[in-house]
Amino acid sequence: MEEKFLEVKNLTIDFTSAGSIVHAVNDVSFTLDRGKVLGLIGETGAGKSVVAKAILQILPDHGTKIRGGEILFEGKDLMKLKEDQLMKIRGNAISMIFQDPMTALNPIMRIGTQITEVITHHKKISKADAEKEAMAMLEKVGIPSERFREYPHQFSGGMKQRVVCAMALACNPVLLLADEPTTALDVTIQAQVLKMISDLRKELNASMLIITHDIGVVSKVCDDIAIMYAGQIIEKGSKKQIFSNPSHPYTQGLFAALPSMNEDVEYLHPIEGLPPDPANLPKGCPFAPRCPRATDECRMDKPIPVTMVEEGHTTKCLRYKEART
Amino acid sequence: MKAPLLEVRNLKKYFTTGRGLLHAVDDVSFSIEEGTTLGVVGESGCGKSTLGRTILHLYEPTDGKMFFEGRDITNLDKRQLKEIRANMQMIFQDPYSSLDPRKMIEDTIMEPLKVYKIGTKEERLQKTMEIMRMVGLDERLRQSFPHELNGGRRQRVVVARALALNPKFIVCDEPVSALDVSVQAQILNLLRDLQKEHGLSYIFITHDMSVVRHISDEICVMYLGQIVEKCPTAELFKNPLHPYTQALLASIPVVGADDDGSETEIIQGELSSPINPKPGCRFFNRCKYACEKCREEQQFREVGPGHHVLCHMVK
Repeated sequence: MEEKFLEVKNLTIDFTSAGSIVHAVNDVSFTLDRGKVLGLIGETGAGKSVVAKAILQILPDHGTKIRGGEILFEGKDLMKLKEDQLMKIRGNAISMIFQDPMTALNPIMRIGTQITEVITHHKKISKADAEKEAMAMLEKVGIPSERFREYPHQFSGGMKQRVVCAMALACNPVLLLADEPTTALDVTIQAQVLKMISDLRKELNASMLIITHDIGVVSKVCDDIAIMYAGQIIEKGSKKQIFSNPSHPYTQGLFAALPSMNEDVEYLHPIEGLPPDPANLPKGCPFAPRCPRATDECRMDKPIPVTMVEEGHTTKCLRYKEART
Repeated sequence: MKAPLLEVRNLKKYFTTGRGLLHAVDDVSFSIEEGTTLGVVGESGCGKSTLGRTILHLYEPTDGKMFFEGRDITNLDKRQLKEIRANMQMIFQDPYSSLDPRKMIEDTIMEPLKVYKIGTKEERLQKTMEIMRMVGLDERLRQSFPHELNGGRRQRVVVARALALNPKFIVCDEPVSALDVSVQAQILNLLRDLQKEHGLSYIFITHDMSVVRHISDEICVMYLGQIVEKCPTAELFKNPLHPYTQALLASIPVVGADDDGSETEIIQGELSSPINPKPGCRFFNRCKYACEKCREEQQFREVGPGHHVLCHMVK
């Protein structure tokens, strides 16, 4: 069988907190091909960030229990690697762009030093050469290299996120994990940063897993989309399949709840109720308590199987055929 | 003619900083009719929150006039301020920090009634229950603490507290920005219902264009302390005239599969400093139409019915 670039299989992660077990990620599987962009969307607490952190193996040791699954990156299972092997991959072949540029940078270290550090860690080159590379990287993300010796507080939010991107891209990664990369930014700045990330990613032919709750951002940059709810991927497919034929009632509800830019409606259609408590998930389908189409079968004590809607488009819904509107 | 509910004339709010005067709100004028919503949009640092807070006297205005139901409310003493505030309330952005973590929900909602010494203890409790029902909070939550509630419910508590004194006017400062979309829709519907039932007027401050489009009757677009464009909602989206408004609308990623990643025009650069701004158009350094005439003071002109713009290029 052909080796996949990134393949996550049946990933299941629990956290223990204050005596209760939180089921953060439940049986998540997906693949990502080289050069493609997968968007992972979902609301707060859906488990999106946990998936990204699991790929980099940076979940806290304390309280985290990986109950099963594999994360195959170019054929190697990242979960079986030792810490020193992981250190060679992080920031090098796989790197991450964090949400909040205000906290992702070290406030008392010059930004140039922070970028150089990544390069000297992974490459056997002199400090002077590494600084040269770091400066070139800074120019690439649209910051004049004169600002190399400045501190983070001297930069605006958008500029800081550019610095974070420069650090992430400094070693030409093949896989980028972007966790809400533009959520903290204004729209006009978001547009600039998204374009910069897309351009540099294409240049490297890198793959990207982008995590966001912003459906507009997903529409802009992704090839494929996976929707998470209560720690599960409840639907996935190509961007076109998801938008033209959303099949899971949660996906449909999510789209319907968005205020539209072109249509006038007096009332929005919120999804009734609230997401379930991950420490106390309902039996069967986690969306059943909020779902207008749920039946007793949906609430039975067994996992909902993955059903194929069409080639490349799957959903975890027993009644997706009826759910279609 | 009946006076508008709220009228703001040439309002200015400057802050003194170590590096000079920060023009947070600079010569802003508008009015709001009863039962309508004015949306105020702009990016961080454009002065939209300062504007909302200055109207409620959380900041004292530097210059300009404000009228509420025809009455001048620019300079008020403590007693007058208390009187007028019963009619003007505020909903804050972050329901995690705007509720007292050590107060039970019912006490939080009841507090305004206590401050204004309205009714007996029983009557206050009754009124609190009534408001909780109105905003869709279950009665069993009355003795809960904020940390026991999620974001959507907390924001309902914030709304309930703002409604306790039956105000006529509410400043909503990014009331749904901290919420997930499915919950955001619940709160937006609630605000609309309350407006219909009680004839409330809102100033709705947000950076989210799709939210402001949904909720507002009229919209002001702010940039570096100034209103650069003001018009009825439908008109703004159909016919945006100021180059900044156009850029703002073009920056919003469109939801759907149609976006093929093709190039939409992205404005370059960032906000210039609001401290001691140069005369002339403040969007100058980012504007693709910028010319010499933009360095002069710009006039806020009416260019179509109800459509005002601060740009000499617009005919």
